[in-house]
Amino acid sequence: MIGFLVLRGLFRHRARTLLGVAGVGVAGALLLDMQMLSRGLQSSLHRILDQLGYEVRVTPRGTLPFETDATFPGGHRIAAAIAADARVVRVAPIVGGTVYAARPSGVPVAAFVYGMDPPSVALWRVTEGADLGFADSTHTVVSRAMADALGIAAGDTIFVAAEYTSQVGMLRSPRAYMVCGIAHFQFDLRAQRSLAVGTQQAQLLRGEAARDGLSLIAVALHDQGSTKSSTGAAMSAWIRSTFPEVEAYSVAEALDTVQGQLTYFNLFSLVLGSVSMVVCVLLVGTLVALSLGERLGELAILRAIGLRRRRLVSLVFLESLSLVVLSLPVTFGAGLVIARWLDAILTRAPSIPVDLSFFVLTPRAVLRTLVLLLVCGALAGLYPAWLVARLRIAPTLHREVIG
Amino acid sequence: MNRTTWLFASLLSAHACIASTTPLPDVVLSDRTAIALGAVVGDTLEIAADAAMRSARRFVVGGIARPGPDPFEVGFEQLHVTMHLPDLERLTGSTDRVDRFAVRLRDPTQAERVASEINGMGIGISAYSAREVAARNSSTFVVISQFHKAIGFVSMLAGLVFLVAIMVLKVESLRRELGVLRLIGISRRTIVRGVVLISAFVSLLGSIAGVGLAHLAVAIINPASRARYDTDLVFARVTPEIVFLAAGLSILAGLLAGGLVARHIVGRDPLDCIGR
Amino acid sequence: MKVTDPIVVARDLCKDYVLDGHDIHALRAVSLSVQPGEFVSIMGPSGCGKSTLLHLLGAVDVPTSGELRLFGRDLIGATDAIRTELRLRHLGFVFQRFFLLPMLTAGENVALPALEARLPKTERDARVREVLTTVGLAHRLRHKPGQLSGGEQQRVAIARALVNRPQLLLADEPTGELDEATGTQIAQLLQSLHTAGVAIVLVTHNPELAARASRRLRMRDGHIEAES
Repeated sequence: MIGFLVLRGLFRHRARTLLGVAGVGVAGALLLDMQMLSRGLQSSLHRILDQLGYEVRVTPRGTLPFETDATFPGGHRIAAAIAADARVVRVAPIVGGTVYAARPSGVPVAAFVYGMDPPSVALWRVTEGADLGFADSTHTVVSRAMADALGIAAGDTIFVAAEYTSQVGMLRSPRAYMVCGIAHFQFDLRAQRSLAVGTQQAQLLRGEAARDGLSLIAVALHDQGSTKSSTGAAMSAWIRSTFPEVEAYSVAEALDTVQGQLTYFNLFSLVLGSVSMVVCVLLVGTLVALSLGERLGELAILRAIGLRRRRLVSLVFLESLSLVVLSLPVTFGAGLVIARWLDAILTRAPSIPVDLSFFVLTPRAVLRTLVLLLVCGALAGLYPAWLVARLRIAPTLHREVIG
Repeated sequence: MNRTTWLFASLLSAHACIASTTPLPDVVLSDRTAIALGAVVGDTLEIAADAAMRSARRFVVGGIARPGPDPFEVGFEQLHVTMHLPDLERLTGSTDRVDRFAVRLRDPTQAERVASEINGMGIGISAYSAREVAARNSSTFVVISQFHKAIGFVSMLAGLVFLVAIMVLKVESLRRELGVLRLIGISRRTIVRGVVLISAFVSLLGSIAGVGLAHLAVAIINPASRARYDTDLVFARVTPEIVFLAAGLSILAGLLAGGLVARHIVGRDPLDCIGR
Repeated sequence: MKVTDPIVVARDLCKDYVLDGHDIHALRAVSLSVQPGEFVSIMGPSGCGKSTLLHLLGAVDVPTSGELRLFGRDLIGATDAIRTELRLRHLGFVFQRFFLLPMLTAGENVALPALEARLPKTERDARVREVLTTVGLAHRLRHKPGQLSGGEQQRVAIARALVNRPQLLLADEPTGELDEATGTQIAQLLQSLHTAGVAIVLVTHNPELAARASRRLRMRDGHIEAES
């Protein structure tokens, strides 16, 4: 009966209900967006890291992957020791850092070099031409931004060096590579120029060959289903204790560390999410309380003809929740549209990798939004429900007749 | 000229400090670095370019400084050591290398032309005028600012719907009175004006309450965030421009909502309004 | 409770309240009993306490002092749940304003008390049809209050009061908002209900309507002044 009365009540003043639904919908959309934002970058990063298939990353001590140009010495020795562990499927030694590249007799441009040997799962995806071969010493794969900056295509030759002589604009000890393909680099910043060569070539370019310096060792573990995360953590702990000169992160640990760097967005989503909730509670509470004021006579008569107090309390409470539930399509529809718009704005920032998103719709974000909105509906219903619970039948009827 | 690199440092014991016979070069630590190392002014540090502390050199802590607030460093907990450029070159083993240098011109208005000339020389370096550097460095802030504006727009949309909903209910509650006023001959125009005035007044009251709430929020958010992230940044600020913008928009929305609702009410039969 | 026992027994009922800082003595030691099937009318000037007495008899208000028994049950100190149950199962209410829910049809309005009493759907539907037929509105089952005349709305309100087959119908100025002809129809309807065995307590300003009652009370200043 209550559900029936609530539905009829909502359709009684359609324009008013529509306004309420629209208001709660917009506030709910903002709440959904803040839930998507609060873990968006982390989820997005998680997705990319998971796609690569490496559970543990080994970096120079105190750094995150490619956070700086720092390297650790004896990289292949450490990689071999890690590879010998029974839990490990494969390891990928990687070198990264800033170099300079130029066409023959062209002006050099700064670029980021990735040194990694296929068939390891690469940090890039070839979109034109071919990929590097194993221990390839003559080819390079470049990013679209790099190709555009130098005006090169697959088949062209470029020169790459770690330094150049600024007085004459010449590369110092350049190495020549033929461009075999154009690739999409997953961790590139917007407009970043990148190229990929074999690990050893990158070491030679960066002057790290003698000390066998590496920027990163990516470690893939045997698939252990639900215990994968704990195995990753155990592996990273073992690496940290065995090789004090390096840092090791499981995917979860890396994400936790990154989370600490997303303070601005976390704070932002917390504040704005809270404001959205307050708006939601106020809007629903006000709408229901004011409409209640108009219906006191009806409610008093319902009590007079024998409807129980708790029945009317549930009626009002359900009205609040129904407004929230009715607004869910608007919440999710508008929320996704707004999220896409806001994401397009934020990903224009120059320091954001191209494949990352700020607003990611995860089951967690959906569930939290649903729960928080229902909590808002319930909180909003408290005051009107209290008003109904203490409604005195006789004086109310008297007032209604006099009025 | 300046150069930044990644270094590793450790605090030496007081004994090592006393054993030193030649004056050591000095460094300035950021306050976070000093806390992380447990160092105070006068302590001796070993600093190296790699984690194995090979070729480490000794420095004395000449000062501890709190870096200027930087939004990008909130939550990063980065540790800074500032030293003289020759000391850094000795430490890293590379000489005559800098990340960037600044040039002061006799005629600052020629900055763009000079930068363009340097870039045209094809010597593999990029020159930027101060204006261009500022524009490039602020691009992230421009994005954030656009983000704030977009969020502000959505919030205002929610606020407008809220206000219209409240005004509909408010005016509906005055339905009988307005019906009676129409019956006793008060013109529609006067009633519309009255309703719009009430609406604007409610909006104004809401704006005043909103400004109060904003001040309260700022009073909570700033100290809490500064303490949490150990920074001097101002996270939230209520400026007169914001107050005027918010109040102006709110009253405008109130007038709009009131006008819409009033037109709807005066369009109804007065007898219907009084429930006959 | 025996079949012949009074369904309402009130002794020295008093009701005081404070209005705008003034003490109002709405009822002063009113005593009254109503037998099963009896038709009692109460008249009196505005503010004499008629509606207050009706509200006390209908268990929607509590007396300040005195004794009150409804259907053999002591209402002094009774919980809200007991009072609600009494109203649902044994009492029917009709008011000057019809207080129908505008978003429900006539049938749905009438069905509300039966729904609350958890009558099975088939029985509920049958009762709704039966009482709407009794008040002559079976053909208006699916009409909303806004589509009905004042008299029809009041008849729907009476049908709603009757759907749970109450033994006592309390009517507060049921013709107050109706024209004379429609008022007469309502009066005839009440008369037929009385004939069918429903006890009625009627508060009215209308002497003709009051004259239909088997017992007529006149109130003044919070007490029963005369009985005929």
